[in-house]
Amino acid sequence: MIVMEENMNTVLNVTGLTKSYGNLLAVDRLELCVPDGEIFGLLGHNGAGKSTTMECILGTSKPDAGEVRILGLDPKKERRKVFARVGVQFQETKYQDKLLVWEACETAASLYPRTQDCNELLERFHLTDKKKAVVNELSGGERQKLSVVLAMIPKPEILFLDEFTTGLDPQARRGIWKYLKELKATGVTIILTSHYMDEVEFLCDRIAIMKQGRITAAGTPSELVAKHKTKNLEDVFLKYMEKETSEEVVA
Amino acid sequence: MNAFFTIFRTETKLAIRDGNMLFFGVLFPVGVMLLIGFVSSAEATRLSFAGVGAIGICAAGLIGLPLTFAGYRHAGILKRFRTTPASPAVLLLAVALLQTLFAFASAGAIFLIARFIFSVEISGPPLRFILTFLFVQISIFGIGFLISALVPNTKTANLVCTVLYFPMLFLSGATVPAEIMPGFLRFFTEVFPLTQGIMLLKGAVTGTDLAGDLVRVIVLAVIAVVSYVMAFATFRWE
Repeated sequence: MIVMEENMNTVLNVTGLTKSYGNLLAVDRLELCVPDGEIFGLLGHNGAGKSTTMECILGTSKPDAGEVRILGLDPKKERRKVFARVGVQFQETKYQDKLLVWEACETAASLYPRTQDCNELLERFHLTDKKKAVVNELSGGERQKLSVVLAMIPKPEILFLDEFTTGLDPQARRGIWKYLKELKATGVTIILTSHYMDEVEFLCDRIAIMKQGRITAAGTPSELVAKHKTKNLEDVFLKYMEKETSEEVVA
Repeated sequence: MNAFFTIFRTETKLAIRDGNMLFFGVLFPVGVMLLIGFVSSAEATRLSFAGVGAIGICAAGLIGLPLTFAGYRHAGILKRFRTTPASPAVLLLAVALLQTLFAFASAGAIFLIARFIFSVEISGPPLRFILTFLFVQISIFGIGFLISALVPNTKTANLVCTVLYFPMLFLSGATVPAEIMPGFLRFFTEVFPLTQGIMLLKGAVTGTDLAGDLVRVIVLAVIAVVSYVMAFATFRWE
């Protein structure tokens, strides 16, 4: 294991992250710190800045200001080192036309120094009988499961999942939840975004709710539920969204 | 290296499954060569050989390359590569190599047909023909890279490629010899970079003095340098 000098167990550290598109401030001086082995959820309505934050963290988008450290390293300067240990699943992943499922797995595996057996992963996600299917002809749910499989191939120490259960049936969703809990037990850190509050409540150790590019609330799901005296996390989330609506009305 | 081979193998399978390059890059020029060979005199067939042999370069460089690159960028496939330890350049290199092989396969097939069915002889040294072919290919591929770098999406790539490819195919002497082109089309024929390349290849077939074609060499070299420099300067991963 690589030992980091200052924060021994911080695997993701974001400070002062700012990104704007024209006049729109998408991410505003965002601070984020995720310790080793945690499942962390980044929430917010569409357009709150979650995906931009993810993209800036991963280096696929260039932030205007701020610093990102993944596993103590700068993902832009030490891309190879960082991403040998990180798995990423993007929202709405697209594939080459006519690419087969096993070819997608094989290609992904060829990019990494150490990999997990693709067959085991496909089996685990009930995709074995789809191995020879064309990726673009899979159902939305199957394609979604495949994108998670591909993110798992590098045996990641950190896993980034962007709306990873969108389009999945309840059974498949539970299947992935169980798998992620098992991963967490082996010490993997997971950073996810989701619109399903039951999922977030079940999986996440800590969450942050984003609004207009800033984090308006953060804590464990139970802390937030207790603080707002609501029944569940969904109500907490809705409360924050309502606040915004009323602010907009005033404005 | 493992990544490169795996990606190259996959890209090859995808291109064959897709069939467009096999048709436009190989089958189509083979058909043109057969047609010309059967209806023309031996000398006309010999003069057409260089032009038809260059159709593969044109298809690979002006359709295969830009459409694949623009498509992969548009689909976010290049972007996804940036969150792996591999460079997205590996994918681009694999595609470039595959398209190069398409152009080779096309010219090879045309040569075999011309040589063994129509008894076409190359008067100049074979090495001169091969080197000229590579030079023309590098230059035309440069234009393809530049299109890939400049087009914002697949739709525009399609449009630009069609607008460039078909006129060049018919007016640069690849299918209809430039020598018999009527005057008002001659202007277009002269400005197409592919015409310069085909003239050079023709010179290599007939064994004419290279010094007479120096201007064409310079034009193609300048096109190559300018396109590669501009392509590298403007290329975006997403």
